[in-house]
Amino acid sequence: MTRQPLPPAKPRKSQYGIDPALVKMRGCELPGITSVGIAELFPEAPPVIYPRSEGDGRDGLAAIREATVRALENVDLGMIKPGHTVNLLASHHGFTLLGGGPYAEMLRTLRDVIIERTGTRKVRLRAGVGLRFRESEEYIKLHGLDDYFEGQATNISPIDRGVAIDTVIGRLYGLAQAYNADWIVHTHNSDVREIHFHRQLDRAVKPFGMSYARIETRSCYHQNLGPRASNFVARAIFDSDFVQKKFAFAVFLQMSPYGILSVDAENNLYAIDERVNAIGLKYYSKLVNLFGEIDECICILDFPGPIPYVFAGGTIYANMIDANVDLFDLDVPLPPYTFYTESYYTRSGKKLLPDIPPVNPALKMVVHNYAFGGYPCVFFSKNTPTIVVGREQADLFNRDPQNMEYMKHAMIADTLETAMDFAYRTAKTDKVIIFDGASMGMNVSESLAAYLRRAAPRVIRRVEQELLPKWLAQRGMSRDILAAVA
Amino acid sequence: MRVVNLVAKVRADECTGCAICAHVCPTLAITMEKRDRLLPVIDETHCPGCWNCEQRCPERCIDMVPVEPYTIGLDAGKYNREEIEALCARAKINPEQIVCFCTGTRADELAAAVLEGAQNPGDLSRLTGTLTGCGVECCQPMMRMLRAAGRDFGKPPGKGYQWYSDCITAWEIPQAVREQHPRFRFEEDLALLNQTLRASREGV
Repeated sequence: MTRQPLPPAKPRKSQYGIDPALVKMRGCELPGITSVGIAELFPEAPPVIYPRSEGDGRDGLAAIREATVRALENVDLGMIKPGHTVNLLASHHGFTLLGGGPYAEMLRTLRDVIIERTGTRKVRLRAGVGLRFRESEEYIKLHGLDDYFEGQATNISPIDRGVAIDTVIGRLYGLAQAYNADWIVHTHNSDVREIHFHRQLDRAVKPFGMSYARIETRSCYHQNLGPRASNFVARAIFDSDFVQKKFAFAVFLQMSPYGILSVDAENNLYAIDERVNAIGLKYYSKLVNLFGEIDECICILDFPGPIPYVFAGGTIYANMIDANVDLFDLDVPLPPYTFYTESYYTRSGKKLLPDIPPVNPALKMVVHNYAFGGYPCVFFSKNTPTIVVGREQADLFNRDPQNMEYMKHAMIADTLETAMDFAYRTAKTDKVIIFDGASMGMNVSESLAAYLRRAAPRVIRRVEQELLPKWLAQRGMSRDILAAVA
Repeated sequence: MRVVNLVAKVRADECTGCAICAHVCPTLAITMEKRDRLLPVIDETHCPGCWNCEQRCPERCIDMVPVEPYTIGLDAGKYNREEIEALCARAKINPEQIVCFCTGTRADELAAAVLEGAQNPGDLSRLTGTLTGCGVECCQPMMRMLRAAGRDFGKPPGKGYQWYSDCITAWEIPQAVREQHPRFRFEEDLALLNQTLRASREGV
């Protein structure tokens, strides 16, 4: 029996995207689209606390609240005294997961618990962003967080006033508003997201070098140290005296492609980091490796987020672009896409180095049905044949200072149907994958669904038997940690 | 090369004069001037349409309005190649390397802007369009190029925070850090970066 497509993430009104009313058709409404469940492909499915199964009879967000309260029971909050100021440091990422409701509920609960247990009412939210400087403002409004935090919920951006942080690798710069409190609480999630950047090295620490950091620090990460070494930037900031004197504890949504596994909280961030990395290597790696098994496909981008950050099956499109290379293998220096790689293409389009891997050659055509601007994406339209649906979306990119050249390398189709008609005939494949934010599964064509079901068992074998031992050894991790996140 | 097709306009009657727009303008095109009260004045000839001011204005009283498109950028081919290559070598960036992912600006163009007389990151932005796209990722190569030319670019004018300072590079990581944290592959990444420095402009 053919499975019905899964519901995609809904279009969202945002200054970084087109009006949702202009999204006339979703990829999953195309003929011949079905779905595959993550648990169907990888049956080791661990229990999840969110989303709840139908008929469970409980509000899913209540489970997040319960889990947050329970996780905090073992965390020392004794350093926070009545009258102290506490900044909950958050990132836009969390709000893009499963509609953002779980992350918002974790933040609300955290505020309540801190007030109840410490007596201080000065708990403020500081939500960082990527390259869209008001993005978290939109989420704060969407989830009513400003009211909940009594007017103390603030979007912070990398061009805001900075604060110098002296580290073991010299002076770096954080955002003044992130650190203007007696205590900071680091709130994040284990979604694997940008493996091409973090390489599953200190994943849990990364926001100290990004979401809470100034442009100087972020640029140092992306241009000064190299594709793997750059991950030390966040650690250097986190380990600095300046941050350690303020750091109280961390709270994470432990994500997986199956849903949310748990809420994790500790005073020791590196203990959480080990579990985050274990989740990445144990669960997300199989999905990413499965992407690497796809021999040819058409990708439909169809999610309210910037191009590399549109989701399928709980992981992002950037991981599809890089799927021809094992990003978890630290012996691999350069992914097919990362800022370091992008910088090493000459004017004539040649590579500066002979061993730079190409963009995943399985990507035969990209149909950009719905995605946001606000991230430099020229590399993508330059390196993969791209059709953008609708003049309005093309205009959006032509107004975006990060993407003034994007449309020079892309075509425009009036509708998704005409785009797909062209894609099928030109790419000569009927394998289609849709990055539309459907959760716990993926919307794909019937041919790709059958292909993925056949490929999944050999991916499981390869990851478990060959790759995991190597990845763990490269990171000095014991296999025992995998059991802790099962 | 940066295409400019929008510029910023302030709705003065709604402006509180907080000056944040002036503090985040990468080309230093906004100054605060005393009228009946303190108000921002935008020098349209240097406004790159980057949206920074619009994005950080707490009153949301800045609009981006269309203008006849024009481009910002320098033709590096018109400058002394030996000087450009020497400057890039001192900054440890291959001249052919992209330094700005939004404008596609390459290191040799940044070097050309320094030869043209750029004294600080604001001048580089005006001449090349760098730091006027995402406003983030290219700031270190810009400052490295200025340092390589011996420019002491100091602080932005007024109370601006367009830039602070350049930060560490792969060549300066302390030996103790390299030895203590081998999983970050400092040595191998340094070798990779050195390899890119030696790579031919023609590529492979």
